[in-house]
Amino acid sequence: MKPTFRTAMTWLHDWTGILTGWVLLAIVLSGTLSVFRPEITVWMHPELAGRTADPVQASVAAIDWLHTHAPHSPAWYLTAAGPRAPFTWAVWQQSDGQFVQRALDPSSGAPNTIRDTLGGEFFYRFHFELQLPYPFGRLLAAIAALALVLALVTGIVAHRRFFTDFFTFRPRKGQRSWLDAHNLLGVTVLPFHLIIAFSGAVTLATLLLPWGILAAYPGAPARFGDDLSPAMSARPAAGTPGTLAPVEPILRDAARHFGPDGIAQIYVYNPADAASTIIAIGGNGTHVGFNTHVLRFDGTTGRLLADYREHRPLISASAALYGLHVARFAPLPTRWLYFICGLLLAAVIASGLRLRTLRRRRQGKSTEAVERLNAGMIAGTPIAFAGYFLANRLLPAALPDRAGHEVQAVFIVWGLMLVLAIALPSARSWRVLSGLAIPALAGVAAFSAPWLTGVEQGTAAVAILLAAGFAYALSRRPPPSSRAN
Amino acid sequence: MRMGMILRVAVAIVGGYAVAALAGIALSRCLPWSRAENVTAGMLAGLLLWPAMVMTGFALRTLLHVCAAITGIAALLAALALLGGWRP
Amino acid sequence: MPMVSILCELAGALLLAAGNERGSRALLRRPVPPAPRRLARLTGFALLGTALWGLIRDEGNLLFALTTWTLSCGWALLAAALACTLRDSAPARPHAPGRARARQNATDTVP
Repeated sequence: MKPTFRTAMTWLHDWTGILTGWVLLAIVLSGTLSVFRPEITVWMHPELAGRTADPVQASVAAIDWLHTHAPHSPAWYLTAAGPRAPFTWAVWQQSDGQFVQRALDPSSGAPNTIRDTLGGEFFYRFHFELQLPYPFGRLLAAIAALALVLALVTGIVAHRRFFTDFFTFRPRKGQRSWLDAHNLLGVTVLPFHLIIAFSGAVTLATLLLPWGILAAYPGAPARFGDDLSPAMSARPAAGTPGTLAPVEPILRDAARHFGPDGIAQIYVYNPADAASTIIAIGGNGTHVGFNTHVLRFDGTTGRLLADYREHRPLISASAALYGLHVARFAPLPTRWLYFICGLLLAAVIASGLRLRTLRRRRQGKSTEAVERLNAGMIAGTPIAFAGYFLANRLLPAALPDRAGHEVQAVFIVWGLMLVLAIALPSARSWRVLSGLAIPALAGVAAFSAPWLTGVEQGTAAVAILLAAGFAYALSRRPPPSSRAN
Repeated sequence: MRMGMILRVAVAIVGGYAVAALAGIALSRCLPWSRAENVTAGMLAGLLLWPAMVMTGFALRTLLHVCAAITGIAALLAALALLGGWRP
Repeated sequence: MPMVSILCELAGALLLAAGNERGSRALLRRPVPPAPRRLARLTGFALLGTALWGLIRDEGNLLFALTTWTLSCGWALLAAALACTLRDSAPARPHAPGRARARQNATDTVP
């Protein structure tokens, strides 16, 4: 058995890393992109570039459109327009029960004037659902988040010297340099890594550990939701038809209540029923906590039924952790810091995976299979995600189920990259995949034309920097024939 | 050796989850605040306890120690939950 | 985010690097005795504290400021580490890096 605490923790660090590294890499990269979820949605709707929208007016237009086109959906879930998003994001149910999600035009409220794409929603959903059926994707993501917490804490023990030694990075020394990079990127933003991993688990806690809820609310676990956020629950449908009151005064009233926080979301339950409910959720303009101010209105009369602000210390703390994870509060500079730190976390994971194969190779063990998969995941994931952006511009605008085809493109590219990586010897697959990443990312930068808005400039800049990173890696890596080991 | 490691992994992960679940139950039944707050506290504690228990599972010297520690903590939490009126 | 806070963090991170044994050797190209290193470290921490104070005043919200500060400090430390690397590896080093590095290599390889 392993003799000391440190070797035991190192063993645990290595195995947690190797078993969850690949799935964590995909989760971290898609989560990093989700930081700019509305911006990516704007990029993917060039029709919306440069437009602005008033959250109340755009929501009123959206509700009017839904009123005529989806009156019998049990609920309409709207994410209001705002300074970052000149569109309303709407989710509703068709008469066949199928959920639809679309960006709605801020002035007409209709989806058909703009192309059908999931935009940034794809990365956001993939980040915690992994394109798997409920609840497996979410459970896997929650377990991966806790595995990341475990890997970070055991990593502190395993690489404990880095707190005194992280100021020099020794490049061009093979395994030594990878270890330095792994330590340096891990330790400089360690608070970010720890908080993002733990708060990620917090967002999925009710699914992972429902036992406390079942024990405290025997037979009625849904009551926990009512207690957690008392204004958030709708009243049951009356079963008799009713008409929705004019929504504009209601939303103006809500906007007045929220003040500088702004309206983030609007849920309309049973819109065609006599007991319809409108729920408005405040944004994060002035505080970190997520969903801490909620209003409930009577949908038929427009009367305010409940105005709930979260003040309970423990639940506020949990909401703050949630808020720190989703970063809706973050002003633009902080948002970029989140993005960069997310990329650094991905780099920590990738360098850790690389480090392990280098070490095993030095011990004379075969690492070829793992190394090929490493190439497929580490270089293949950015290519697949770039493929999503490219598909958005290459698929014809009027294609039926366009959004679905865009998502398919991601997995087709991902699959191809993995097959390619597995088929080639690892030293070659790194070169080939890095070589493919450069034109893919350059394509994203080119399709960001005309580079006038912040969204277009930011996307192009990130794509070019990543392409430059791959080009640098390619130039640094000697051709396979001259490699020493 | 190999078998011992597999057993250790299993005990650490499954036992750790049991401890986290029991902590959630015990705290949600025994804390003095409102139900929603107790449940939230229990869930947060559970999220911290699971990785902590996995680490414990590898930090202790023998498998017997690990089993004893995890069973002991789980029994303590279960007793607390039963005292708080929880019936499985 | 105010420019002053960013500069404070960068200066603080560089001073922390100068307060570190290996960092100071890289930055100044010679060993530095412990007393000035200690002073550099303390000044570095003070500057990071000043940056936090500036951010709190600027943001008006403790949690906002703390988040931005934590993330941007990490970034500043990374920049400082890169500065050390560039200084350390720019031209060929005149002599072997000495005992401390040998010890380093002996103990810090991954087991």
